[in-house]
Amino acid sequence: MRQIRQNVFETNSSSTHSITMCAKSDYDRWKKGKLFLNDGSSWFSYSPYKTKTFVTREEAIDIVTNNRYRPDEPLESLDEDDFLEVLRERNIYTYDDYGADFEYFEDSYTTPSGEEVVAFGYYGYDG
Amino acid sequence: MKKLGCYQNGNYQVTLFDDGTKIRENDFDWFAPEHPESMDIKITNFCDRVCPWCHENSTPDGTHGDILNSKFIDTLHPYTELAIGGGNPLSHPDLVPFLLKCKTLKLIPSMTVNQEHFVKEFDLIQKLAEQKLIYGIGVSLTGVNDDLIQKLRALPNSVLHVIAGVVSVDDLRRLYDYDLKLLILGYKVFRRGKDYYSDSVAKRKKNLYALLLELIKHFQVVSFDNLAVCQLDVKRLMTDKEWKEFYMGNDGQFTMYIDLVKREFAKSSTATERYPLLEDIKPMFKKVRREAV
Repeated sequence: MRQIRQNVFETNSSSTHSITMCAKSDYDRWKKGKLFLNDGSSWFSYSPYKTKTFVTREEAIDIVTNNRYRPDEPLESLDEDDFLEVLRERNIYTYDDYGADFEYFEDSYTTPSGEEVVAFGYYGYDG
Repeated sequence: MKKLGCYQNGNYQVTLFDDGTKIRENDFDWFAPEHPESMDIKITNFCDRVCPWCHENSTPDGTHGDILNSKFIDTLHPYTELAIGGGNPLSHPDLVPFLLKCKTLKLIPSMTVNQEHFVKEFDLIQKLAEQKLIYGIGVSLTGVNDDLIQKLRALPNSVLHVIAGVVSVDDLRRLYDYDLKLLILGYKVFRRGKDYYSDSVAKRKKNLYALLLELIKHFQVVSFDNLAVCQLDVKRLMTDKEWKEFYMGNDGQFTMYIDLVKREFAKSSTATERYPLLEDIKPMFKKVRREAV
């Protein structure tokens, strides 16, 4: 089991929580396969891209390889399926891979300044 | 991001980083702590601000706690986080010796002050942060202005505290896109907060509820205390997976409250069940944890 408090010290007695949502433009690029979703699990990476929610293929590789726990094999030697598997193990997903076994949902919202924001995720099945 | 420390707490491991990131990990599906990861410590009830919503009832007549002779401090596990508050903690004459003692014990103190005190005592706060005598700086918002924003930006571990029902939507929008950290606290209908509660408070809370999805795009981090999580129904904004990963537990589960003015401990600052302070942290935590689970 793992729990993370991101980027903030305890300045109050009660526990704290964090949320990250994304801009629709990034979400659309992810959906089209141009970006990967970095699902907040790169805490042992030294990569400057590790805090980005959406990353390019090159940035995803940097997150995985520039890391305290690197993959056993060089990523260049892997075929595409194995490469994506390595990313999935580190919670970096293509749109198709994300929440594949669960019930997916998404919701969008337009801010007063006109920016479209997307909230998305999936629910686990009870049984 | 540098690692401050790593320790075992019961059946899991805690890693703490210098930007405040904390990771709990184990191979089980539950965490069973033996000692608190963090605690709220009230060191004084003195404050010259007399904010009408103050649930601590702090006043200019408030007294200071004896912070240098409390034995339980010596029993805290290294890397325990202390959220020091008051009253105005900067007014305590023993604050710096206390922080030096915390540093010797490898504790991680943070401190929350009112915006007016933050601005007035900024040089001191900056020095305390540079010397690693305090890590996080909570600043209770009283009014948005450029000076406040600049000073918050100058301290990377500062967090602006706002109260649901007190802060206005307009004030929050004026804070947008400065890469600030925000902590939203629930409204405590407790002590002076009970008298201040009105339809206006309820309306501001409702407006904040509607603003949340927009708001989180404009700050570096948006955090909530457990009361705000309930009052603003924060869970609606997250997936179940995110909730499981980011929800850090109920009050008293990993945290507790100590009032060094009255020499009492409790599950949280608003808990009405309070007990006389003991000399060892473990039995105190065991008691509040029983209430939390």
